[in-house]
Amino acid sequence: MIIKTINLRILYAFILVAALAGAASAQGVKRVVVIKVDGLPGYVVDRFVKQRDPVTGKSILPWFDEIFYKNGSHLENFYTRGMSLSGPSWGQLDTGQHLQIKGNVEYDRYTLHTYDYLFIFPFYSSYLLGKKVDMPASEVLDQLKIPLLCDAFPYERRYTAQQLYQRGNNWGNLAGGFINLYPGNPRDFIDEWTLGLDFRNITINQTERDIIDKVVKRPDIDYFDYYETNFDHVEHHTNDDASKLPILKGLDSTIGRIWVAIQSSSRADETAMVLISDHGLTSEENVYSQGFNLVKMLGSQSGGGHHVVTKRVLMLDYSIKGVYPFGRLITTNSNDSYYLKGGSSTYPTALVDFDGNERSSIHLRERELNTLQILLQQLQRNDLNPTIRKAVTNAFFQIVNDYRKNWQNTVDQLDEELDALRRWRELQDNILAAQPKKFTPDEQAKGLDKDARRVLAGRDIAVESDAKYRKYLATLTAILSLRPESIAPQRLKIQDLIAPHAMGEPNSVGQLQNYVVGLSAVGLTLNADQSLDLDKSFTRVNYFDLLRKQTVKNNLQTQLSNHPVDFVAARLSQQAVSESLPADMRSDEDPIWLYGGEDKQALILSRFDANGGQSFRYVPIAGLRQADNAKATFQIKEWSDGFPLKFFEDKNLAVPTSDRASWLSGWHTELEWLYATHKTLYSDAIIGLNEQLDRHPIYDDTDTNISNDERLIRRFRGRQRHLTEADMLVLANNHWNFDVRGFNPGGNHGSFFRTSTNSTLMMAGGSKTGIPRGLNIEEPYDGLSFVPTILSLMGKIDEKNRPAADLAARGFKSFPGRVITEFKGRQISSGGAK
Amino acid sequence: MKLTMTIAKTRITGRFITVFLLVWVAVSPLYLFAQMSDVAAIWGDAQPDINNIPVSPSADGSDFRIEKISVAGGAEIVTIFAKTSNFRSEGAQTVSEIPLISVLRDTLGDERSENDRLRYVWMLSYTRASFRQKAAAFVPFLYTRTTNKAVSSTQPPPPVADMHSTDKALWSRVLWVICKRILKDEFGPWPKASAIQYRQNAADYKLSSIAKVQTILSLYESTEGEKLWSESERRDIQAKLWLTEKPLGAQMQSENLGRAYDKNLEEVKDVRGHNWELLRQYSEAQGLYFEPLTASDGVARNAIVWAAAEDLAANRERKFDSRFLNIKNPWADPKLSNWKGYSQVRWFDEESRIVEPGTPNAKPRTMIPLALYGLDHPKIPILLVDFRDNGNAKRREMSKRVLNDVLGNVLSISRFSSIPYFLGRFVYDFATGRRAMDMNQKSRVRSYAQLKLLLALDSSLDRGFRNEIAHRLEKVSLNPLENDIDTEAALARKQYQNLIEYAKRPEGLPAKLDLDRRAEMVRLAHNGKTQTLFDVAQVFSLGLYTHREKPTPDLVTQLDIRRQLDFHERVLQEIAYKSAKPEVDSDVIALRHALQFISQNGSSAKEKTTHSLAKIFAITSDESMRTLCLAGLYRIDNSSAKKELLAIYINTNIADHWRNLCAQYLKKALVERQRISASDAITIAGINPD
Repeated sequence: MIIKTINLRILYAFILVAALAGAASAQGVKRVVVIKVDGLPGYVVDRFVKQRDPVTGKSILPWFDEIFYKNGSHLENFYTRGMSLSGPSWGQLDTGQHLQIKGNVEYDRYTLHTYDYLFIFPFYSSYLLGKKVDMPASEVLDQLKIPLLCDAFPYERRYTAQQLYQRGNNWGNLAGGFINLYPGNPRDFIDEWTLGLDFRNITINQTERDIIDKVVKRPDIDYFDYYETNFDHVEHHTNDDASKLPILKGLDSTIGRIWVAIQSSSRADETAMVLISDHGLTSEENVYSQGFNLVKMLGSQSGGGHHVVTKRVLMLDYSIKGVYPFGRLITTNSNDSYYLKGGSSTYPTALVDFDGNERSSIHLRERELNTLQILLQQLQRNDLNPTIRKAVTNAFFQIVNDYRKNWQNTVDQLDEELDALRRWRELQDNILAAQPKKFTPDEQAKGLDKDARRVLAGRDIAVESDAKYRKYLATLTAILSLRPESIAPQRLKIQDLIAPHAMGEPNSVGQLQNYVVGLSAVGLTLNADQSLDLDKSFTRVNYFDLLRKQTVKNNLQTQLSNHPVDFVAARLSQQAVSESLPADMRSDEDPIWLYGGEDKQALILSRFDANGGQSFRYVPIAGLRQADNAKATFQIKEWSDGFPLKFFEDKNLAVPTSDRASWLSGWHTELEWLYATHKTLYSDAIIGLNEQLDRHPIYDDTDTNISNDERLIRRFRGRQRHLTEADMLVLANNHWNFDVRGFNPGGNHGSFFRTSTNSTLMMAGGSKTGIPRGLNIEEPYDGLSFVPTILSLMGKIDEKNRPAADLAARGFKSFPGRVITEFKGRQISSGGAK
Repeated sequence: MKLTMTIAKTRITGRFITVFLLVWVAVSPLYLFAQMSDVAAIWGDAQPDINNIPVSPSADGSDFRIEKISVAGGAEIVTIFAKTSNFRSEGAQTVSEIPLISVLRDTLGDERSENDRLRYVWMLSYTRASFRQKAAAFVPFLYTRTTNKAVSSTQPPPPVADMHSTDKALWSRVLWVICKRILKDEFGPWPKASAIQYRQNAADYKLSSIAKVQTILSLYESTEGEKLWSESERRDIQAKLWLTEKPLGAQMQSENLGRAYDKNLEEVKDVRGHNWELLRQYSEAQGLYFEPLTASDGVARNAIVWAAAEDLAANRERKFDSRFLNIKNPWADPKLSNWKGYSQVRWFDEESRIVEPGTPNAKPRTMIPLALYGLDHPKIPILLVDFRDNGNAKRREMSKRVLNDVLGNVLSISRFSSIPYFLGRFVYDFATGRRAMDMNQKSRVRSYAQLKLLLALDSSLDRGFRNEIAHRLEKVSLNPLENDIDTEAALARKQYQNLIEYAKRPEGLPAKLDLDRRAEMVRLAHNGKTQTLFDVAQVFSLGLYTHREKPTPDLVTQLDIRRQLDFHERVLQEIAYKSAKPEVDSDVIALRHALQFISQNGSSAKEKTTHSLAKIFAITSDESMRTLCLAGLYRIDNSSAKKELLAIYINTNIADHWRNLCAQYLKKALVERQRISASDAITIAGINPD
């Protein structure tokens, strides 16, 4: 009896302790301070943290060591999922969803509308004028109804820094930053002036001051974020540790000060401090990153004589025009243009985005628009021989008829969508009319004035879009309405038929392999049957081959190849390859084609299992050819060295050498690929290329509770995203870059090299947060894991990554990424499902 | 009549002042070192053999050797020597060496590093100009080197920098502006032009020597083995040298020197990398070959652009874009087809890499040098040598100088005297700046100096080619005060011997050291206002009068303590600036040592130190350090320290025992009649400590 009583008491005590422990851990993270650092490679931080100061014996980054290595946890293998570029990467980190924004700059092929996600001056000026409230990237995500992490917190309970995915603008921050440029006494001011007043960092420094102040004085704020770009900037310019270390030490001091402030706050025990970066950066001491000018190449005769549009001013620091702060499209005129000499202001034919610089996304004008324009130019000649004129006319209409269905479809659907958009706009006008003209301080504190302005901004964007798309549709309609019997070329204005400042539909791989850039040297040539010989009449370029074959004569650094281009990636349509692949290579998505030379190519296939889990397969191939939009032919090759991504020969591939060919020839889940490849030269490139180049559905297609207009607007938003997809993604070889804005000899990012994708994620927190101390997490994760992990730590999502009711009401959806359970003190990883 | 007399008197006074200032202008290069000349005037007859200083091999076999020589009175001269075959005597089999720079460290004769002070930096090839050189330097628009200085002087070299911050440079600048104004008004443009020409030449000559020192230090840093100075001393020297170009650089507080060093380092590397890449890309685009010239520290500060003779025929019709390269079209140049100058054959493999001659599948190419560039020039590589047109680099060198000299010195137009000129100049500067035209005089001077030095030290270049570059460089030089490369080497050896002799003589460097210390004691014996009066007197007496204290044992002890105090105050200020919590992120031993020192000897510490102590008290949780902070605030005898103590006492968020300690210190300070503001004194009087 006594024993039984004792046992019961022990049991009760055990239950009580367990309950208390459970209660404690259930409290979790209630407040989070996120330190966002642009371009901070995890391996660089780790190297410096482990380096000791010979005098003190402490780490040379003492706060990283103290906070995240001793009192918190850090991920050794955290990767960017997709291109290692800020725009896309922060988009994923801020939303926890698959990539929708896929560049720092995106161009709409129909309208040449430019989404420049980095440029802050136009945003500041629009904000000042009351026209905008969010940075362009946030506006795009709002259109797609994808909320940001900060949206999980009410407006009045969050403090956010100035950043790419910014909501609102804090003028107080800017003003405070200016005032604090004066350090407090004249002598110090003279020193600061001599050193150069730090205008560049005024908002960053003020954000630090604000957070340190508010984290103590405003216990009601649950979410803080801080954003800085200094390290990325320095790494682009200098490649040596001596230049980088002062910046890292500055960051170290910042996190130290914020951490100390958190510890002195009333909510220290339930606050987590998180340090995250969007990507790494390839930079090696004593190696200069070399630039290769793709704009110049595309403008050259061999490159097609394109007038090339960029969003960045070429040689910015050396140009008088470069001081213009509001950004605009820059067209680089080609003197070697075949048929558009002097026409650069009307008909640019290539769009280039090279940000990050280890990659470049290239759009070329739809090949058939080139052909039609050349034919129209010929038809407008007075000296054209009647036989040739007839052949040219026939060829012109042959092309129009070949594409008629496709183009008519665009006209019909887009027209429908724009009508729906107009009706939506009218609704917004009603909302705007009902809004108060002024907001009380209390309403402003809740962000209601910003919400109102957001409606206005959305409406204005819709008005602008409608006008631009309709202009494009008008030319498409005009060309479709032409009839051979009534055509009078001399009376036609080419600009009414071929839209100026438009790229048309995306090019297929086949079109890019056989791209028309102008009339051939022999000019218009007829076949025996008096029809136009399209092969002989035109000069054509195979862009994959052209890009890969570029070489330089100054090959000075042993670490670099004389080929600036590593490989070119493009998406092939599923239909194009389905017949050429055996049944076990069936792909559920469009395959990604990697071109590393005629004999060194690959297809990345993907498929989904019944649970939505995604698997990939890498198929080494050679000699892929696509006949326009038709079937692609190629030879499947045995595994050997030299195929794109170089997994087979990589000593860090986590597959024994003897099993490599077999392993690499099979289907593997996303996680299996990640485990096997993440330490190789190209780390998670298989996953990243799919993330970057394939489409990821935004909306639930099975949703029946929406209006027809809503359905059309969703389709329109999807179309807008698709129109920003580039024809080709060109990847630079190691230590090469495509920067033409200036020079980035220090290093670059944008590629799938591990040096550029290995990023930083570290976390530490108070006693109630449950974040383990001194834990180095070796398990690899990527950017999709960040938001669900934060929300999971805060108890805002369930085991299946579904948002809590209050978040669902704010538009949050299930998160596809794995929660980093190690931060919760558990060593189990789940899922990986798409 | 009265008016006329007043004008006449004014003119006479004006002319007197002008003549006075003109004299001052003439001696200005000596002004800063006037004190040294006094002492250095007496010389011995013994002349050591300077042409073949034997090499004692350095421990690590590097290209540099260091030497320390004690100076009586408690100091040492540390010297960097370079070993180089470029200075091998004709017929000699051994590699000789050349002394490059010397630095004086005043140690006060003890082993304690806290009271050490780096003073003079000598670039041993930097010398006082000969009479003929000086006369030439006065001639307006004479943009050329004239003669070399004879290597026979027995004087020690003038220092290029004094590490001890003074206001002399600032005063000198202010007086120069006044002098220029009066010169023009009283004598017309030519005397002014002459004076300005001389001053510009002297400044450029010094600037070029400073650039050489910076380069040597950079080369030396990359070597292994014993170092001349601590890490912080090294950073301080580099920062101070960089700051010599900034208007108020000499006034930089010591605690900010580390930041200045970091900033400069990043800027230099940024510029160098950009220029490397710009020149490579533009050479590539024009079908030329780019070759960086890498020095022994692995850094390429210069680069050569070559054309391959085999490419000439194929490129005859090729368009040539000379932007950034700043040379004329090589493809259309008949000189190249019939090139008689230097060339060399190189072999390139299929990947365009340079390989050994005869490598299978490699092809030989005859390379013709087109131009040599400096990579440390802001924004673009600067053309230093054009192998086809010597006048090209010279014209670029002269262009902005002529413009400035004509407008400023002859026409006396300044930005502030003419609005049209102001606007025109703004547009011109903006356009040339944005378009990156290589007309920045200062950085051009630096680049030339750097190349000259590297040519002297680098033995990797073909000797004939090196000589050709050196020869062409001499022709480009604008400065009559400059000497040629071989004379500089001889001067360096001779002046080093002179310096050593000077250091050995009791009336030489030891006496100078004594004078410097006595001048340093002025701040211990007089308040700020009196010190300012002494400074003004020194400036207006052309440096003939310098107030110095008589070195009593008490003042010597105070000097020692003051120097240590400076050292520890800097430690505190640096930690207070960057630390979030010293226990985590700082050198706690150094901090504790500094706090200890201040709490015992800090009565004369600066106001800024009181803020640092208050901040460290706030951010540390170490009880002993907090105690020392409060003790330090008590010890510092100024009103700011007591204000900080009072602020801590008033802060109710701070634990009572700290507040009580503050109260005790405040009461004690009041009793001791320490400096306390009237309002604070009243508050303190009302405190009742528990």
